[in-house]
Amino acid sequence: MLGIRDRGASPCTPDDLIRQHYDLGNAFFASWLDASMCYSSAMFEPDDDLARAQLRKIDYHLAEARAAGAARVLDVGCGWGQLLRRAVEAHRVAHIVGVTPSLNQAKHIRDFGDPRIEVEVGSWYDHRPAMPYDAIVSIGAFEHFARRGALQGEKLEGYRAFFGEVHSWLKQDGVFSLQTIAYGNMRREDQNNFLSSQIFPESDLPTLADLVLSSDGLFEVVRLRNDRSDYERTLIEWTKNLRRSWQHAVALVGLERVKMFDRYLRLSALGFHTGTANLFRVTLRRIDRSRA
Amino acid sequence: MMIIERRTASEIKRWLTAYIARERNVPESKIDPIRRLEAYGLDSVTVAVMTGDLEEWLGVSVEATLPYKYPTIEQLSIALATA
Repeated sequence: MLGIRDRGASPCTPDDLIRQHYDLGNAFFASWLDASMCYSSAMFEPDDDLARAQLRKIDYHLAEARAAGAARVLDVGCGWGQLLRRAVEAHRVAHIVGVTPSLNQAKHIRDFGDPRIEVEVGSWYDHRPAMPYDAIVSIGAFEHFARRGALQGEKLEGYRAFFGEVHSWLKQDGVFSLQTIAYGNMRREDQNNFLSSQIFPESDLPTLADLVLSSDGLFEVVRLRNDRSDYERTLIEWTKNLRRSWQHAVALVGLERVKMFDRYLRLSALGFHTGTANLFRVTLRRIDRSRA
Repeated sequence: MMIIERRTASEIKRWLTAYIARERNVPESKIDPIRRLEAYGLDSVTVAVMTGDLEEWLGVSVEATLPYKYPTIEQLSIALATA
C-alpha cells in the first residue's frame, strides 16, 4: 500500500496517529458503541434507538449516493465495515471496497468472509482503483484530512486534492455522499482548540466554506443537511453506554483513558448542542464538464 | 451489588454549590442557586467534567447538556432528584 507519489507528502493526519486511536482495541469500542460498531453520528427519527438510527444513517448515504444495485461502490473511511455489509446485504451492491488506516478494523472486516467486500488498509491518498465506481460514500473520515496547524491555503489544497481524487474515481454523473463534522459558531482562533483533547491531537476540522470552496467546479451540491442534533443524541447514547460498561472498559484500557473518553464524548455533545460544531451530510454530484 | 441511595434535591444543591465554588475559587456563600449557571463563567470543558463527576456521585445518568435544559442549580437539583 505504499504508493509513491510525485506530489509530496499526504496532507492528511498521519495514518499512524489515526491508527493509534482506532487500534485501542475493538473490545473497548464495542463496550460503548452499538452492536454494529458505527463510530459516527447516527440519524434519528423520534422513536429510534441508537442501533436503528445508525442503520438509518447508512441507508440514507447509500440512497443518496444511488448505490442500490450498483456494480462497484467505495467507502472511504469504512470503520468496522457496517456500511459495506449493509450495501451488499440490503442494497444489492455487487462489489464494495472499504478503505481504512486501521489494521484492527480491516481484520474485523476480513473476518466477515464475504467475497463481495474488499478492504484496503491505507489512506485515500494511496487509493488507486482499477476501475471507476458507480457511487462513493465517506462517513466520519473527512475530519482527519487536514493536519492541525496547517495554513488555511494548505488545508484547502488538501481538501481539494481529495475531492479531485473522488471526482476521478467516480463514473460520469456519479454521486458522492459525504458526512463530516465541521466547525460551527466559534472564533477562528478557538477552532484549533476544539479537539485539543488528547483524542485526535493531529486532526483539524473543515468549515462549511472550506467544503464549498474545495469542491467548487468538481461537484454540484445536490443536498446539504446540518444534523448536529443527531450527533448530540448519538454522543449522549454513547456516554450512557460507556457508563453502563464502565468497569469492563476500565479493565480494557485503564481508568485514565476511560475518563478521557467520557470527557471527550461529553464535550463533543456540548459542542453539537450549542452549535460550535456542525454535522454536515452533503450529497455531491460529479460535474463532468468544467465551466466554459 | 451496589445499592445506590437516591439523593435529595437539597443534597444535590449542596454538591453543585460546593463544586462551582471550588471551580470559581469563591466562597460557597457567593453562589446563588437561582442564578443562571452561565453567570459563573463555566466553560464547556468544566460542564463536561462536572456532569461526569455528578453522574459518578449520583449513580444515575447525567447528560452533558442537562445544565442547558435546567440552567440554575435549583432547577438542575430538582430535575435530578425527581428523574
